[in-house]
Amino acid sequence: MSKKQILVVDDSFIMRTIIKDIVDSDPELEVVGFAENGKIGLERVRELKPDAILLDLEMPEMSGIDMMKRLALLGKSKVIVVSSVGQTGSPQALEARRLGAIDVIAKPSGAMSLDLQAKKGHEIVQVLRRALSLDPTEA
Amino acid sequence: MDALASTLWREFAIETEEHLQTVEPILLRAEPQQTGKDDIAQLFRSFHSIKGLARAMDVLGMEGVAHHAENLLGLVRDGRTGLTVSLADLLLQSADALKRMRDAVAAHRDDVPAAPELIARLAAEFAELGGLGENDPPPPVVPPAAAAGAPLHDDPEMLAIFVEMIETLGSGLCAGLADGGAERAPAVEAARTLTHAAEVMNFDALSASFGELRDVLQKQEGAGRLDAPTRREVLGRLGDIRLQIELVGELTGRDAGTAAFSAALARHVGDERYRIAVALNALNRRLRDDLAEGDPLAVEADAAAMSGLARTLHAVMAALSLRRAAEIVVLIEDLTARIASGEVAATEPLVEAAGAIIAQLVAHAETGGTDDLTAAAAAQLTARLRALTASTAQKMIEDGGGLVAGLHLPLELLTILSDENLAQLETGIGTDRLLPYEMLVHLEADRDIARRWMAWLTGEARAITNRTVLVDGESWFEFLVLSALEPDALADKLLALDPGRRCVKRVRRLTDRAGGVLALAQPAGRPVGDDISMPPSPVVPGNLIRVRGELVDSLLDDIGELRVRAATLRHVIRGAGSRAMLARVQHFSDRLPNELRREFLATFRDFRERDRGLLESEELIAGMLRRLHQSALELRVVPVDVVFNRLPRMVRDLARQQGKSIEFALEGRDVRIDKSMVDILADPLIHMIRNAIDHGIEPSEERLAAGKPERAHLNLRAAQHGSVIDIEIADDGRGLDAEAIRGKAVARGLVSPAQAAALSDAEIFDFIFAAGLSTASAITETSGRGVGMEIVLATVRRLNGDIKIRSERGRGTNFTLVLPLSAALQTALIVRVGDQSLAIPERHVVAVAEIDVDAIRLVGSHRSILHRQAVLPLYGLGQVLGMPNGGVATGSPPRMDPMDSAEPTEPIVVITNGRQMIGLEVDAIERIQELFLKDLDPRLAGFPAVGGASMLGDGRVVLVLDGEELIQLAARGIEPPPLATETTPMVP
Repeated sequence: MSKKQILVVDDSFIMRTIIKDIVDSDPELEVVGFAENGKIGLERVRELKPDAILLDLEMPEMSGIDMMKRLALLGKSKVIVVSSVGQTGSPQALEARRLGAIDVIAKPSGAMSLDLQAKKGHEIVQVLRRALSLDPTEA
Repeated sequence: MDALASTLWREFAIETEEHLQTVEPILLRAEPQQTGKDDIAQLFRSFHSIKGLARAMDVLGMEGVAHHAENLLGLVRDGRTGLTVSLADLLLQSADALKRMRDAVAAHRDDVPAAPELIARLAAEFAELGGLGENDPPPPVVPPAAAAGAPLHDDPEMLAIFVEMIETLGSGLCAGLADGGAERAPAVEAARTLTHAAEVMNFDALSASFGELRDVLQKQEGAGRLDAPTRREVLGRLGDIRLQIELVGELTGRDAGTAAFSAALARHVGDERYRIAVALNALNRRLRDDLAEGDPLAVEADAAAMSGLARTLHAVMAALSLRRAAEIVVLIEDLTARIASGEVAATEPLVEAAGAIIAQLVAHAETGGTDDLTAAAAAQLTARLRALTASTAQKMIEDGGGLVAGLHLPLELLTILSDENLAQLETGIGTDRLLPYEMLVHLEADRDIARRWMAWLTGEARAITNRTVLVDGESWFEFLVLSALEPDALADKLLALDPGRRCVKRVRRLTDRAGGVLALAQPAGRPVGDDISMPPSPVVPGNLIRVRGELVDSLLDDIGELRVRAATLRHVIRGAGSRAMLARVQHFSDRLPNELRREFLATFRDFRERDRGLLESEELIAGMLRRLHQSALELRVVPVDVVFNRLPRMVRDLARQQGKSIEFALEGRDVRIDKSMVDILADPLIHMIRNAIDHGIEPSEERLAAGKPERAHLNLRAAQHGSVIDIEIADDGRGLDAEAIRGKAVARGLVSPAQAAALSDAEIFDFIFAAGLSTASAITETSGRGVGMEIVLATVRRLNGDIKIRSERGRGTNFTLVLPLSAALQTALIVRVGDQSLAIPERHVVAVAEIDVDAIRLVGSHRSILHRQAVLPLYGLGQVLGMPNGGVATGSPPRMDPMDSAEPTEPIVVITNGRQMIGLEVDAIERIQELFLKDLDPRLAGFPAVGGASMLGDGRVVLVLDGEELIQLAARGIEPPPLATETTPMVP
């Protein structure tokens, strides 16, 4: 069975690397591309047609919110926001949800969460699996 | 406004140039190899961007050309035609036309009409290839664009049509909620049409929403009233669609009928909203009971059900444009989803707060009104829930107390502190005695440094939290960090990690209110949000600025002049004359009476003290100037591609003219050369490439007959070796014909037959640089006139370079231009003859001497002196150059140095070309100086022995002489054309 294809959109290469490690730890998921802002993200979506997108919100050039506004029309990929401003109930989280984000996951320690793997790694994988209708895995 | 307009026009010029430069190589490539999808997409985008830029500047002529070119590329992209040679040609012509129009447009800041023939050809080609005529309506359905190409929704005309379709058909979708199958039929039809239209426009998500709605409704065809789950599904789809319609409006700036859609929906929704809210309320009550009974499984199950129901209610609210109500429902949805996943523990206050919100929603739905919640009501409802979920830090900020009050942190950083972060801060500062710092870092600037810094951060420091700060369109991070290091030690540590401060931009200690910035390097940072200044660092990708070339030139000119002045200053301060004068003054004191002498010597000591200060300062300034000069020179380097990129086009055109098939390869495009070499090098390279194509590469039949592949290879390669740049032009053509050259050289009397026979082939090849020697049997428009290579060599020599030739009969020829890195900068000796200053490149100068006029002897018929045990022939420089009033010896009195002897002497410059040595008599020797070669006025270029011109610091023009030619000129005794006095004003 082919792996589900994930696109990671985050302006920090370190975060992209960390998120890739998290996603690739699941045998049924695979990071197929990166983008450092929304604009490039849209191009990648067009090229790669990923199953799901892990999206940061605060990015230069085109923010995650602006990218979602376009994705809501253009892409079929499911969007999961992973952002430091993604606390439940924050204005950005609400807007992301309004624009169709499946879920909004808060980065535990700011825009660059080196502890993302430890603290949210499992949650990210679970949310991805839920979004892609895969069975949940055990922790 | 004027400045703004200038900036816009300049940007326009630069950006169109960038797009045109992208286009050309791709189109040139179109010939030998199949152009890839990406290339076509790139071409399409480039022409599309030019069209957009032209439209923005209101230059409709350019817009028209770009538009037609884009249309043609659209056909290629959609696979309706290939990028044929003739099509690529036409597009190249369009690019050329755009370039010309752009230049005119940018100069006059006004529209330039497009050539009607070009537009007509483009339109005709378009029609022929199956596109539509100019006046035909756009096709209702166009095959979906290729995946890599720009999608159709980038086309404003198509988009307008699409928006209109949604506006007309969108509201009809809401009939999908009607109670009878027949009443729902028009909604199915509308959904089908819109699904297809959205698909054509590449609005995949929109197409999916319409398609799913269509599918759901189709299953219910003929059925009566929809059952509750189906109704909710339809409602959910309609909610998605409403949002999408709103976004179409937001993105296009044209309302696609959001209000009409919401109104139509409201008519069909009926009491659905009320019923869902009531169901939600019931579930919430059950949740409270589960909690009271301590049944965690039931809590999770009910919370999950609530979350699903809230999602539907959210869609309904959104569909009805009740935005505030929808946001509150999202809060419920998220809260219950997190309770269901166990992420948030369900507590009684939380469930109570949710209950209060849901009760309000029920009340709001009961009225069935289409008014949204008031802002006050929404705020009140959310405040209650937030109070339960907000972090301690947020509460501390609101209270203005606690640990955070002592940290002078930006509010943005404070608000994202979690309870855990606060605990870390407390332990770190309170227990472990660490110091809090705020650091601003730009990690993308250099990944290696970033990794080192991260390793330090995770290994030796504690990162509490961080946030993204956008600085000039780049993401920087602001970190809250704890470190055991004192500010000074930290600054040292960070500088060791990042000496150029490429990543670490600012560090600030946080404990004291003053919040002093650590002196990481000279310039201190400023608060976030202001410009952040940095010390100059090595080239940072993404941190490049565009500077006009003239600005760099003028900076270098100023620096050049400064160096001249500094050199004069140095001469005045350090020159032998001033030292000797000091010594004389001191000796002078010997003759003074004692008391006066003491006073005099005290004053003299003062004077010496000041002199020493002067010397020191001069030394420092000279050093700084050298560094300044070096850095400024760095500004002048450009990739050699600036010269190379013009060539593929030329090769292609020539090859096609002559019916030759040539594979042209470029290597080392990124080798950097001095900017001034760009203009000087272009002509020789063009000439040599032409030569290679005209004479080197054989016609196809000849190649095939010789057993060579029909397709010839022509390679242009640049490489840097230390301070030297090699540019190699290699072909696999017929090679140089040594015998033919030998014959020509003898025929023209350049060598005797006997000498010619004795010369090796390699030596014979050098004769191709001799004037008037061409072995080409056919004289073409471009080459074969025997003047070319001579000028090529002269130009290369002028740049202080040389040309090497390797050639093998039947196998090809290889010319290598060997050039110094900063060829334009030459050290030269400035001499004076009459009123004219002349520069002799230092590399030709062997010595400078004052000779006794009496020591001049006639050797044979020529005036000579003995110099270092050799007979050195003397020539008046003025005479050699044919200046009026001849040379030095006759024109001016012998020079006398009062400090030396009373013997009549004259200055000479001994120059060599490596084989011969001569002495040039001049009026005065001025100084050694570095000169920038300027482009030579063409009227001066013809004069023998003049290799270039430069400007002295005082603005005087100085001719730079070519030592090699000077010696030839002197030795041959050829009467040169008079270099008359009017030469000076001829130089710009």
